[in-house]
Amino acid sequence: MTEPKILGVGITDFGRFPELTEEALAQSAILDALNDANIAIAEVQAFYCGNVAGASLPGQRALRELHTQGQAVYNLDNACSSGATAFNAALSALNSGQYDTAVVFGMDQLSNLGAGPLQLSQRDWNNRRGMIMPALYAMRAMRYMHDYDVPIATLADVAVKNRQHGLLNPIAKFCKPTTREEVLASRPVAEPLTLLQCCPAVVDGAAAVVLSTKPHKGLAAPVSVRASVVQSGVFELGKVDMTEAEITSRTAKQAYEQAGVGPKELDLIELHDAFTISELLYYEALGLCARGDAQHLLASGATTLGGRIPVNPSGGLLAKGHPPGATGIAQIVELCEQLQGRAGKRQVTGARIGLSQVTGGGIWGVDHAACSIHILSL
Amino acid sequence: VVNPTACVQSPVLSLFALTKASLTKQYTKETLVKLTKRINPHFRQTDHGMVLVATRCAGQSEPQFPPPEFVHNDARHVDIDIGPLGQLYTYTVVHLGKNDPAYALAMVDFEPGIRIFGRLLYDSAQTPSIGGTVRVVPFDLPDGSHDYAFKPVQGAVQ
Repeated sequence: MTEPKILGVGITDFGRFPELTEEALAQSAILDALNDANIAIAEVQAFYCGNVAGASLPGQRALRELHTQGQAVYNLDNACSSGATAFNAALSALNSGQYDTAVVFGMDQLSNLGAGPLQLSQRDWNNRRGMIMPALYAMRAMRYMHDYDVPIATLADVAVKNRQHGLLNPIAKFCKPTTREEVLASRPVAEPLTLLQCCPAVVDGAAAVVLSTKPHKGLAAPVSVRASVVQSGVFELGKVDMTEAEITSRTAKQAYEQAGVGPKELDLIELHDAFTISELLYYEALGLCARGDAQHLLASGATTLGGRIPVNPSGGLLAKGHPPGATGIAQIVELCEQLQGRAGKRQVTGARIGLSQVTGGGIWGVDHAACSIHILSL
Repeated sequence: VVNPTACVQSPVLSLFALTKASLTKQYTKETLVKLTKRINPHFRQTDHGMVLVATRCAGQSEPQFPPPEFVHNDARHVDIDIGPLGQLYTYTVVHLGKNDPAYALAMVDFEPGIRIFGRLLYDSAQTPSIGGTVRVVPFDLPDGSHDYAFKPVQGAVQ
């Protein structure tokens, strides 16, 4: 059995493109990935699509005008983890021998849906009472700052770092340079989180990868998938520690075991920094530092480009924005470009092993509804 | 305070479920799962003030709030009064936009070992603080339905 590898990647600009559609964005990313892999769309046996905000059958709608010939299409929705979940499903199909070539893509077009945070189901107990994702993370931040004596400036520094990274990423069209003072002075969204501590919610984008067991024909080196793990939230009733990212910690443990590496072997990470506090919680959940030490890891510069373990060299969600269907695949695209040494000004020197992490969904009773972690290397 | 359940069993819905019988494609009456919708309110007034009503189901060590919407197969469960006083675990003030009034949300710890989410009501004289005491109070949701919220207790010992 030949190991499935990533043979090509594609990504659109991430920004506001109200004149485009989610289908057009997806088509652009898919064609980009096929071109990168140097294969024809007729060679693809199955398509896996991650999409959150669109209507039903997003994959077929996107593929229709690419004139596919009836190949299998799988549409997957796991909230912000949809794209990464689709990748995991495609990988499983290739590993089982069901297909030899698949394209995984994710997209969302949010700029025509209006402003504000992502809409959550109003059938959910918490959401009916006013919960929104920024509020959930704001409450985590409030308690984390209380328990570990973390100043608000530390949260702002996450936004400053990732936007510095994003300025080096040509697809991050929404990214602007910012200072700690500007972050803290921006309007409050859910205290202590201010607007510039939240990822831009109204951003459009798409990303795609070609997974195949066939010999590679593209210019860039094929990328191996060392670990691919999807987990769901555990229903917890007691006094759950909201400063612990339980589902990410659990998923990371499985991913490290699957890959045979630990956090010290990683060269870069793309993680789900939807809010500044998220990045700090995930440093700890991914094992980069001990509980409560994230502020010191950030301040040391270790997670900045040029540091020991750069986190979100793409700029992350804070710089690029967060079209949720695309995010998980966009993270994988970034890891591939970094490992292949073609990440331009944001290149992590000597990158050999990278990890991506994305959670999904806000429903009461669980840390998150979903979490997907991938570990890649050449 | 533990009260015997007053679960009203109506309406009753039934569904087929996978059991040993279903593995052989022989769906029988024994495969039915009975779903009973709970219609008890999740709060009530007592002499000590408003309390929330959680549920402890058979085989479950911790009480659940919100209580389950449906009970499976007449599973034994008891309703448990929660409150009226709890400790503020964390909170936030949400600012949706310029034209929307700000509102506060909280997670509050109650005995026995349960953390509950809800609206937080306070004014300038009752600034919330983590670890501070809050009381369960009546509150109507934006859709008009009667519900609960939390309110800091002025001068409470933390």
